[in-house]
Amino acid sequence: MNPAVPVIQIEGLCKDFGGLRAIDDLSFEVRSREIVGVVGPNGAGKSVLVNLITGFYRATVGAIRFMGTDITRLPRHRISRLGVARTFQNIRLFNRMTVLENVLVANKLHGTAPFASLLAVRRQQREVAAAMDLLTLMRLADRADQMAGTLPYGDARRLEIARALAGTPKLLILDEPAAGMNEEETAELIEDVRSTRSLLEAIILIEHDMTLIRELSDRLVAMDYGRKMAEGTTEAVFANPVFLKAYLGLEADNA
Amino acid sequence: MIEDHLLLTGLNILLAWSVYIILMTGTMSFGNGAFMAIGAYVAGICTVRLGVALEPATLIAALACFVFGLAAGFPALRTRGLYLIMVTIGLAFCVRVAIENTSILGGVRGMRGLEGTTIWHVAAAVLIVGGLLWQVSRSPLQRIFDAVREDEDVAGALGINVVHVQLVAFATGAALAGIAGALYGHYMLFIAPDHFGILVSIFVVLYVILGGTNNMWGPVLGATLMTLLPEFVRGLAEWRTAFFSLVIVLLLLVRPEGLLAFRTVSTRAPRPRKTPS
Repeated sequence: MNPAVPVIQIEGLCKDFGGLRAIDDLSFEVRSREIVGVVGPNGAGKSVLVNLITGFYRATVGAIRFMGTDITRLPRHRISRLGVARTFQNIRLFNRMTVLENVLVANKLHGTAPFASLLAVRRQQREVAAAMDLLTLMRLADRADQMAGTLPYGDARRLEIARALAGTPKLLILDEPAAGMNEEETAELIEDVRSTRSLLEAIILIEHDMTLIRELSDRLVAMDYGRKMAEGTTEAVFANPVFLKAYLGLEADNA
Repeated sequence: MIEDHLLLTGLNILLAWSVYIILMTGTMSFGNGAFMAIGAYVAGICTVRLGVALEPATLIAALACFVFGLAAGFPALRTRGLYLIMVTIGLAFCVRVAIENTSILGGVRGMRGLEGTTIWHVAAAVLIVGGLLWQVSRSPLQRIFDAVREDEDVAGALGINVVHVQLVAFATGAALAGIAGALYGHYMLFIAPDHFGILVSIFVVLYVILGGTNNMWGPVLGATLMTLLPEFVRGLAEWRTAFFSLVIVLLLLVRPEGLLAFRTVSTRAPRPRKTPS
């Protein structure tokens, strides 16, 4: 893998919803081995950005390149097959399937050739072993046979990460993974995300929780009203007065 | 007499499965009566006009219905929910009107000379199709179907080509309905467009809803009950349909998920488990 090619390269990206410009001339890069945090107040366009990269929305103007390939207009399953995985802000598991099945179904071996998998009934041990390894990594192995819909909140979050990893992606996009978590759970999540780092080329982290952002991000992209407000190393952005004023506001002194 | 009941039950099981495989991927079809008609007429032309034997004629009918299912499904599956119901019902009417106005098919007067379906043809078809569905249920394909049905957006984000999966399932359902239609036509000796009306399509969906949509046995139970139950209440004479409808309403009230609602878990965690290293 050529480290000179950015994992994600976003150029002049705009997204309009009717008269509203949700993303306005956004450009940034995510390089190999990086965790890039995307921060900003509610409505800044962070989730729209995730949906644009993963093919859930179509960009109005601009380009998104993944490892040098233009993915701006690709359907979402093609983007996924190239190696982009995501989690969802409002957890979206297959609730009526077991924890193990949720991870197995994300295995690209069958997902990319669904009807050929009819003949793969007897050759599932390796996929099951790989899925169990991921569940062990996310501390879910002893819940493997439980229905995903019955998982407590923190476990459901981790299962989404395990499922995203099961497709052996190069880039993982975490959309507010700490939403609704208490401090203790957030601390665990930080460790869990760290443990996935060796499996991935890069991570994009959308988050409100400043602890998580500070602990994990190498660089930050701060957004407001769909525009890039600040970009740089985590320390530099946290010292940027524009960012402190716009995003943290009254919290500026304790952040 | 018993053989007739068994034969009709078998055909209805095939039809129920033809809807089941479509419902499995989260879409639906209220137009499988149309695919049944296409199957019957294609097979009828093969046997009556071209002198082909019934067995290969049935396969040709299945293939024709698969292709037609792909062609009709491609635009139809862009719609969802109520709109998809409307589109598939519309499809059923289109096919019927097209047959009624095609003189080579006999128009409204229908087509004669079809013959040869025995109980063994139907039994073989049920066994083959049942075997195929059994194979699906224990392969990774079942999980892919389940994922597409539960959340097609997420399934897409996992690299599954949702349109492809749904389209092939839809066309396979059409092919199964075509097989049922071919065998039905050659059992009835005579087919006409109004044999394949909208009521047929709706009844077939009811078999599956009543039996349960989560496993291949639900449609079998639903189709069997709905085929044989009316025979047990012949004494009710004209009230038979009313009684029957009442049973359906009550069943849906009591067990909205169908009679056999269980879903089989495709794979369980290996035991003893690997200890985390």
